[in-house]
Amino acid sequence: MRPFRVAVAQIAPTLGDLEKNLALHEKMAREAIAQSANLLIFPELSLTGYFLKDQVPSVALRPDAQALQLFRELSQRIAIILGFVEEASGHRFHNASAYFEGGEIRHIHRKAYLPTYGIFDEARYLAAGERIRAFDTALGRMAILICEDLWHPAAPAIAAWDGAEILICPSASPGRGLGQEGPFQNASTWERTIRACGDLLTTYIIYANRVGYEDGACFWGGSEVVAPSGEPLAKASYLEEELLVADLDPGRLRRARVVNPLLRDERLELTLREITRIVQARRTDGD
Amino acid sequence: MLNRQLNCETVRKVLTGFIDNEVRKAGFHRVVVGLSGGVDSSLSAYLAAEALGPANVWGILMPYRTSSPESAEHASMVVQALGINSLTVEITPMVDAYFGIFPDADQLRRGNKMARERMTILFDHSARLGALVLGTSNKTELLLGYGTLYGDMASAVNPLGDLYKTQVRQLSRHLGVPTVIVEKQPSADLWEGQTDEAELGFTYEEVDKVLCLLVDQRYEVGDVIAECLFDEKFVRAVARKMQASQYKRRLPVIAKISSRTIDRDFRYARDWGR
Repeated sequence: MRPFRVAVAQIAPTLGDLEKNLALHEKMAREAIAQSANLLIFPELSLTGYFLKDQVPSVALRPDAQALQLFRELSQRIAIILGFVEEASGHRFHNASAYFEGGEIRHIHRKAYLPTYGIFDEARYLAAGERIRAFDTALGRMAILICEDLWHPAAPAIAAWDGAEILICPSASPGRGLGQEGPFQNASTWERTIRACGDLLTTYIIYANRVGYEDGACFWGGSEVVAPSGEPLAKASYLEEELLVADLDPGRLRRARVVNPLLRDERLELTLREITRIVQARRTDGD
Repeated sequence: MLNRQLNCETVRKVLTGFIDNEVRKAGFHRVVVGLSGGVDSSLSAYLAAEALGPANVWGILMPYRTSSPESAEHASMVVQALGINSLTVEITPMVDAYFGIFPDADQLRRGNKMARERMTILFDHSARLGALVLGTSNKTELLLGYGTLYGDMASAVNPLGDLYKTQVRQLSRHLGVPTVIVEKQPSADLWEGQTDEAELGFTYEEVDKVLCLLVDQRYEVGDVIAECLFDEKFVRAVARKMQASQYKRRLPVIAKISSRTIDRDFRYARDWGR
């Protein structure tokens, strides 16, 4: 990776209003450019809002959609990650995040783990992604995992094993449960999780959460940039819109990996053997 | 056991943000709230005054001739303390005119009628003032069904529906609702000497603990009883009330005919496009 400045747009999109959200994205991009950021990250489903339900097909876009032309152009000046509903072949709809750089989309991550419990109902409306991949950018090797993806420890581990130096997690996390420190119980859990991820995987973690309300659910914000040693480098406010800016330094990544050579000591073949065994056993048990 | 203690400052921020956001998204900037002099409607008014500014909040007092004078005094205290707009509309003429036709009606019918009379006044003032009706039902009474359907349960935006009664009291103290209001015996004030706890047969302190286990902690009724946390009869009564009142927490059930039925397979957020 090279040294660069990241900006996280902690915004409150309007549910199902693409036009309004496009304008908001453009405004944030101009602001991030003014602050000399090299990469701007928007939260999960930033172009559409989160609790879309039956609106999903109405707001879906193909990656070559004219509506996204603006970001192709802006990406000549700043790399951008934004969230949208991707209409894929066969009219399957994905909760996706696209990475724009140098005038084109370089990578799309489709959310692989669709929460369908409690307040969530994603698998009812969306198709699950089938890939977790790190990808090269002008700024460094990155991977995108959307919200729930990060709660399945294999997903961030795969991203790190695939060489990601910067793990990006766009999120739309509605606050739940009474918290004593953070605003909600699940906010504290998130903070523990991403910091542990940084620590265990010795990668930068950028958590981009949204704010605002949808049907009474409050998205709690608190976006943060976590160092490869697990400590938060920059933290956005809870509940408020904000453009969070932080500088990422390859020296810090190197030092973290010198201190904790965990990735060097990974036993991928051992992991693969054991996973294969578990998968086979489950198949036999019919589980 | 689940911690029911609120982080009051955060909850205050979330709820004032909620009122501001949901009211404006609906294209309004004012609310109207029925003030009974009790802790729930007082707290709703306090939150709304903070969220929208006192000039954008209308508190409406709607006494019946048997209402306790103390109720109106307490409601007026809230109006004074917050500097919100207020208005008194007596419901006695309408309610008495109706029961002139049905003089044998029992307390339940009379209480429900009063609650619905008040609802029509609030919604009329919603149109008159260009203001959304702010709800005052808390989680305890919603779960127990201790409210009048389309009466006091009716509103456009309800900031209190996910707070148990004991939490309403905690937050009210934090926001500076007068102590006399927070500490008095909760009452629907439908007849003299009526109190919620006497009518329900248990205290809010007790029932909130049970509801917390059953609802938030996902305990089964059997788990609560097996762990001897509460008296079996009491736990079963709470569970029964919750189940029996489920209809009050849902839209009227619709007979399915078409391929897309409202709220069943026609599903949009209320904040659709907002």
